[in-house]
Amino acid sequence: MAEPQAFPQAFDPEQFQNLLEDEELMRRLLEIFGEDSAKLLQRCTESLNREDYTALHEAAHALAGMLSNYAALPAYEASRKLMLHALSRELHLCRLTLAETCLEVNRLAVALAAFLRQL
Amino acid sequence: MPKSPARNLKPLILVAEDVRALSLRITHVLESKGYRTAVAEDGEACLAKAQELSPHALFLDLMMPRLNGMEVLKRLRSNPATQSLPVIVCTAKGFVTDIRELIDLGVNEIVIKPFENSTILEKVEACLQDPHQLLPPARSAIRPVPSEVYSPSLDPSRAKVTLWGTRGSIPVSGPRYARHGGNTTCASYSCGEHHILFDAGSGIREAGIAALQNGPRHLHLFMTHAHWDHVQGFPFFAPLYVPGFEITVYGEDGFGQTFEHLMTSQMDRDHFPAERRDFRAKVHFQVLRGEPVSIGSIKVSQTATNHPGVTQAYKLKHRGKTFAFVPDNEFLQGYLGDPKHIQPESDLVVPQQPLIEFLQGVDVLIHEAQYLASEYQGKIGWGHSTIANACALVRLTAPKKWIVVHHDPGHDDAFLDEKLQLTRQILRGLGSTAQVVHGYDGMTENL
Repeated sequence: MAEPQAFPQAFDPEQFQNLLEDEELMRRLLEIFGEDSAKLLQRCTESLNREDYTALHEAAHALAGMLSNYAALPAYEASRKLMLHALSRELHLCRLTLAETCLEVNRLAVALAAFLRQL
Repeated sequence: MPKSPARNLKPLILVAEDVRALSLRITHVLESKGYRTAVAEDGEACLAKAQELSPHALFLDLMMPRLNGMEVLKRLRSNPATQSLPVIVCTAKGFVTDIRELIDLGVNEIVIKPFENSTILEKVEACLQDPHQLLPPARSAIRPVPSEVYSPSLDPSRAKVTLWGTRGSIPVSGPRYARHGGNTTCASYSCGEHHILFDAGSGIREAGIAALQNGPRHLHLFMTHAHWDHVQGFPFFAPLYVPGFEITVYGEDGFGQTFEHLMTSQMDRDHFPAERRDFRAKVHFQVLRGEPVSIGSIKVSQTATNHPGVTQAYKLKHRGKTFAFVPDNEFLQGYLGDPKHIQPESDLVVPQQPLIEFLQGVDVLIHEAQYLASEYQGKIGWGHSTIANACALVRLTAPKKWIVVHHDPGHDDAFLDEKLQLTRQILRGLGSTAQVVHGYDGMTENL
């Protein structure tokens, strides 16, 4: 019997391969992940610090769009939740969800790096 | 107009997408089939490249920096040089209104994110085969997920509590009170054939009209006390005048007046055109004398509250659920201090110990919190609680949910919104986990 996982899997390699269908494309996406995710998280953080919820919504939307290409459900769902909280303009919820999104993106980065090493 | 591709040269597709992972993916898929591609990372760049490069189709993201996709589409369609450029809109927005607006502006295809690689090629190929074929107005890109249609309907046997009047003291009217409503106290519990009402403030008029819709039957009305704001709607309770209805009104005698007199003395010719003898329903007045009442499997019990005159709190128990109705109660009379200092054994609490035991752990508590401390100082002994003192009661009785009623006629919607935030803050400070909401006229709560 498998041990229960503390967190859901950050990334589904099989789904990622099925989604992109091409190793070269996979490599390109894996290469840009660190830089692009850092930029988008930075945009989210700066928008939230200014309490600019419109900018936060746009940044979270872009982040979700990006994550949708990585078969990474927990990070994708966290970014979608951040979009919704930005619409509700609840500062406390936005802060919590941004923290959750950062955590999930970091987990994903680790998982993607491991996957890239095996390619 | 886009130029025809030169011989052996595949069409050029402009991809307007600000997220690099997406633009990489789209261009990679297109280039793998020989298409030429160009990328624009924002709306303004997209317009410039659409003019400069004359692409054969545009893959357009809706949410982009500088100029959003919807605005890009409008400008493309209003420019003779780009008005017939085939456009495939790519969006995460699946809302019908957005889709309709896109269709109205003229798009050839819509792709909802997230998408598969094959979708990109299918849409581009369809678009290039017939570049003039726009999506017809009736067509929507949103399709229901194939499944059996699930159409639940309300279970009429489910118990529900309805608040018909949530104002204290006197009815109010006007736009400033529109959300909470202006009718004075009345609530009902209905479950299957049973219909039980509490208090007859002006809210009972609406409750009576609603009760008529199900035809004549036995209604039960429990009165907490006979202050004006709890009885003034009684003469307007329509079932009283309809043959076939049977109405039992429960309450306590007052000081020197019978319960029946308390209820009907407002119905003499000097005050109202109808009198007691004009009732067409069979009406009984039953003095409770502290005894619980059973109506089928429903049990209604009572205890006294701290309010001028003879005033009751009611608790209804049915199918293992309980709700308590306590619209008027001055808890911790005269206390203006921090509710954190109130303990079960505090001197101020002891006189209301029977009420605290009575309310212990109910599922839904309907209780007032009429005053701010600043308002209370001049109204000590009027029979109503401050927010903080009502919160202390909630901490001591631990209901699952607290619905605040008996809103002061001087408190408009905006004020009540702030008051609710304050109530939640105090409750959190006390460590209470009870959910708290403000009651409003017409509110329904399933039990």
